[in-house]
Amino acid sequence: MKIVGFRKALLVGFLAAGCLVSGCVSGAPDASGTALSAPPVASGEVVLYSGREESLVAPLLVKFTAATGIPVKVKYGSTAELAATLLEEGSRSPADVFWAQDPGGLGAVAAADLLATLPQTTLGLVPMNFRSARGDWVGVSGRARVVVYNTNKVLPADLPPDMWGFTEPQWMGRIGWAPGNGSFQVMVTAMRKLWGEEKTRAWLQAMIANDAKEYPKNTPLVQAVANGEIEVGFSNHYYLLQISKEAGTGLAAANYFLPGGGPGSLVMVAGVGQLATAPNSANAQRFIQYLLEPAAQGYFAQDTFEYPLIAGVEIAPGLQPLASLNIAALGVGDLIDTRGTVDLLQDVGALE
Amino acid sequence: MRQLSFWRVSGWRWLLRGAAAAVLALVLLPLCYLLVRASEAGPAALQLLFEARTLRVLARSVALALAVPLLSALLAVPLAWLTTRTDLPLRRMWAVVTALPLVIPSYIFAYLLVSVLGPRGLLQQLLQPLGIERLPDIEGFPGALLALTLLCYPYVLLTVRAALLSVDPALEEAGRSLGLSPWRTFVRITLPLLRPALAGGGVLAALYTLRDFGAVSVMRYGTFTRVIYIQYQSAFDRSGAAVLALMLVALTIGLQALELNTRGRARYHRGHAAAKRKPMLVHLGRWRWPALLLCAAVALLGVGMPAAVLLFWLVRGLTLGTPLPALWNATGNSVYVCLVAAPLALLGALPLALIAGRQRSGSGRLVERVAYSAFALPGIVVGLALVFFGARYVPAIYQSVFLLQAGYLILFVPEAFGALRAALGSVNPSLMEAGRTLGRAPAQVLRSVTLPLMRNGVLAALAIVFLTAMKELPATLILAPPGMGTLATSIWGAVTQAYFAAAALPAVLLIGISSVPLAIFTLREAYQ
Amino acid sequence: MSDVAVECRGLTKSFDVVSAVRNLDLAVEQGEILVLLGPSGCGKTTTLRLIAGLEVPDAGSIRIGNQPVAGEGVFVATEKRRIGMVFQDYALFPHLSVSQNIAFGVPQRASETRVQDGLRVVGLCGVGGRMPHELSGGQQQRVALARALAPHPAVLLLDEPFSNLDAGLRLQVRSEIRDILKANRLTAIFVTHDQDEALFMGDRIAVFNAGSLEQVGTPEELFFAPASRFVAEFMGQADFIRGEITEHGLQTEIGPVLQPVTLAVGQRVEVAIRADDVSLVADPQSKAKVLGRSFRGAVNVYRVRLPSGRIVHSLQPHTLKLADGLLVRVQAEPGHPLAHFAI
Repeated sequence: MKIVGFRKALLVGFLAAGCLVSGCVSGAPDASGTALSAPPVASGEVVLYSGREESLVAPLLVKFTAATGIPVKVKYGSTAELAATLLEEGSRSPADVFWAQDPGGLGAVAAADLLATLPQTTLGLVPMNFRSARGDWVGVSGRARVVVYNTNKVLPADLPPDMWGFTEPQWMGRIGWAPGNGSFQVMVTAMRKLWGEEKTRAWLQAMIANDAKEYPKNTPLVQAVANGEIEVGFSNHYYLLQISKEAGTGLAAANYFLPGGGPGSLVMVAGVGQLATAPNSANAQRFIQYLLEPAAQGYFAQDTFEYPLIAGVEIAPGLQPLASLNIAALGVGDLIDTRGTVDLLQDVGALE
Repeated sequence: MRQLSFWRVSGWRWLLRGAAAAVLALVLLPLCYLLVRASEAGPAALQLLFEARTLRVLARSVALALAVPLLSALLAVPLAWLTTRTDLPLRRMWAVVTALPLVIPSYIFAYLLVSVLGPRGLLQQLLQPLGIERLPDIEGFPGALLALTLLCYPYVLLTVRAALLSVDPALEEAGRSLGLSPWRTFVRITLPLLRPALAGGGVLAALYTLRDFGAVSVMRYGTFTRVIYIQYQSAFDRSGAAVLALMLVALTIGLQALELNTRGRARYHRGHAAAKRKPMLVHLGRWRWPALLLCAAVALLGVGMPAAVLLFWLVRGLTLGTPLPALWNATGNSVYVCLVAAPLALLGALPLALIAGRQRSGSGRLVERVAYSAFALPGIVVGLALVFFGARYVPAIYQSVFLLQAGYLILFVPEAFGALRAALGSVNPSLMEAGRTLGRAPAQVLRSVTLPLMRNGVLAALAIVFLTAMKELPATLILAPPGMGTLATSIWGAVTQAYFAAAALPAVLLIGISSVPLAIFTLREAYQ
Repeated sequence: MSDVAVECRGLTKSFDVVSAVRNLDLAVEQGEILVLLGPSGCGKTTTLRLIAGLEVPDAGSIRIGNQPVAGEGVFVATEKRRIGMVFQDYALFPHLSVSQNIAFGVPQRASETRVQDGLRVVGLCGVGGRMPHELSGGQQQRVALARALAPHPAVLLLDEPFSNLDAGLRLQVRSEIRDILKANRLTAIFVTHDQDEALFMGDRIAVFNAGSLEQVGTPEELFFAPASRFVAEFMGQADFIRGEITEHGLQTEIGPVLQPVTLAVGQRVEVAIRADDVSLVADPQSKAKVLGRSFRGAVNVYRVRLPSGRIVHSLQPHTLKLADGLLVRVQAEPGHPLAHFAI
């Protein structure tokens, strides 16, 4: 009896293995057709590598397909993983479009000459400082660096006008940060550009001296501010909005946009680029164009709480308009040296 | 005719070797990739090797990779003993529940651990009325140790439990007859007999610790995996990452030397075909209360806590009307790829186990070391290695399920290998020789004698690979064809966006589905 | 030639650097039980495993029933050699019932009758449905034999099959098995380190020492005419005394023995002498002394120290009583030539 049961188990296993083989005929439950996809040929689709999350991207893709009839095949991952994947694939990539969380990932792919130059009609929709100078990628949504503070413990009036203010000893033990986070690193890159290496190093050391508590990423950082574990945290503006949407009302935290300019008053973009080797280049261009049309831009504004980058789109309630922010005068080209920033962070001990 | 017979024997042997070589070649692909990338490293990347920072990373990795198996053993041995050899109340339930943490993805588990045990976590909120304003930080080494131990001890638990079930009771009875108390019998006879199981499970735990990214990144403990990831993420530096990953491989090989030494020269299979008697259950008496407390505490932390928090998120999301994702496709994909991955890893590991398990020679050991050396590689490295080779040399299967399965094979062959080798080691070799003298060819003996006798090991391998594949994330993200989401990728996507309710549903599904084979295996093994 | 069942020529096998079998020549005749006897590590089990095809020889050849199975550019796999093997630990498949074990090597269609035949031959009718661990050691032993016999092998190989049985059972089982082998006229090669078992089981005995054959012969030949001191010693119960070749026989410490000799006169030798070859007479003039007596029922065995310090044993009827410490005259009265070896 025992043996029979065992054989059944084995049988099930081998049947499953058989499914793999038959998978080439029938296709997997979901990846229909992809199982045997030879190097993709230009069909009626667009292949997207998305460094932005599914929950945020997927609803928009549905709208895109409904509007254009072009189905989207998407591969989700972190921006870094997908950038590394694209670099390994080189000219053999099946991807048409790379949508990155931050300019760093796009910059790394662009530096390997893997991105095509976008048409001027597309680039022209977005202000100069939110797209690549070479014209090989374009920002599609913006997010502002903010200081999230606990409303029970900190009054907005007590907050300093710029990042340097947090070096004061009064902030000892009250700060949280996420040095491993890409957006934070972009802010440090901005510091190096605006302040120079030495002042940036001094600021980092002052943060460490002030016992800044490290978080793995922004979500837990903002959560920690909301539940009073720390009093202020350096984050992006939309995390708080998302968390309060899910947790309901009564979150004891608010965003503070540093009024004093400088590296703490940064607006960063998520952007897209078209692969130079895109098998479906016409569809790719259509997709990128779509992301900069009012429908998509409105989606970013209302559903993901980001800043739209084209003119004439309404922002989410409770957000300060982009124009009212004292944005640091930096171009995206100034913000791609993450390598130097990571070296500095590691050197002062903020990052392993 | 005679010549033909000669080739038949050699044919089998060469088939076995050929299959093993093919699997080893696949397992070695990531290493080749790392060598290619590391060779492009400039002087800056090579300097990495000698920096004090790198040494600190090495020290942290070693500390964690030694502490986790040690602590796991301390948890696993009493739990294994209680659930196999005593009259512990609800023994079967505990046997299943204590193995369950194995199914929980580390990125979820560590996150939940922090949100519960963090300075202002749920526990603190419960204790608030008692005037406790904050709890001590658990991040860093203690948090990583706690999270990884709770996730990894089931590896040790499963191997030790299998060993306890196969120890000949006569050996323990001999100990008692020689005047040893039950406790000293356990220490002087049972424990040494468990040595190979402890070593085998411990190595799996250590290698999993070295490979894991989720727990160390949430706990912000800078081990190799984390700094390798930082190299990719922040600096897009594939060469620097490769140099670090090669150091990790070297560390893995060093750790294995430890394991091989502990196994020593003893033979552990039972001499007799006879004597499959059940050992007498130890009557716990009053001791059942502390025993129950231990089981309950481990179950609460390892299973109850994550389940409760996930359900809390889910219910909160539902009451607030958060739209939950439709997960039919993701669930189907997860189950489908893992149902294929498990028998594939088993088939891949079988020739390796047959060679390593039966040969005292150098080639057996080499097979073993190579098989394990890739096990500690982070999923992202395996993923990128297959992108490198796949896109270049086999574009026909690039970005298809086949390449994903190849990645799973590389990642999970060592796990299956560990389970199979242990099972093979306990099969008396003269049984296989007897099969040959009775006119059965080697392959027939394998099918009719060896595999049936290894059935618990085979089932263990299938169950463990299935559930590890269910929760695998980094390689899945890179290798899954566009459009193919799994439960693990759904969880990841939702968590990074702080959509907890959306993360909770796939997490609950993943844990629920993975629990089934584990529970079936556990019950079958212990109480058939 | 046609009667040779198994033949080994120049068989050689080493493990790592240790040579297990060296240049071995051996032949087993049809229907014969050949015992491979020797101390542990002498190569007898390796020889058996070479014949079974469980090891590959480094050199030399093996034929089974005139078919080459190893060497001569051939290697026939174990399963094609038509051998049956009984293992020291029986190696019964623990996951199969007794019947399934016996049927394991038999084609499906024949299995029903063969299992019944097998169970009847070894006297275990009615236990076919049991699992191996539900049987006693002696029963397991017999199942192992039935399983090995069921495929009707050309030759049966037995590797210390009785070593796991207790003494009483061993005597019973070995005579049963010898009867079965003889009744079925089976050719068998039987490995043991127990000379008593070897004398009982073997039609002929091959004595191994350190990987080579010392002597092959009938039990009587080996017992009464050992070819070497090693064989004499290993066959047991022999004492050794010093001696010298004379024209008509041997001159020893305990007096002259008349017998045919081949060595040159004056050659110094060691003489093997057994307890039943030695007589004792009380003699206060003698310098040999009784050290002790062991009671064996109908007989007593006395232990005596000779003037040279050598010890000999003597078998005496229980009617003769010699006290410890008594001085005795020791005499050789063999009634057959004594084995002796040049030194």
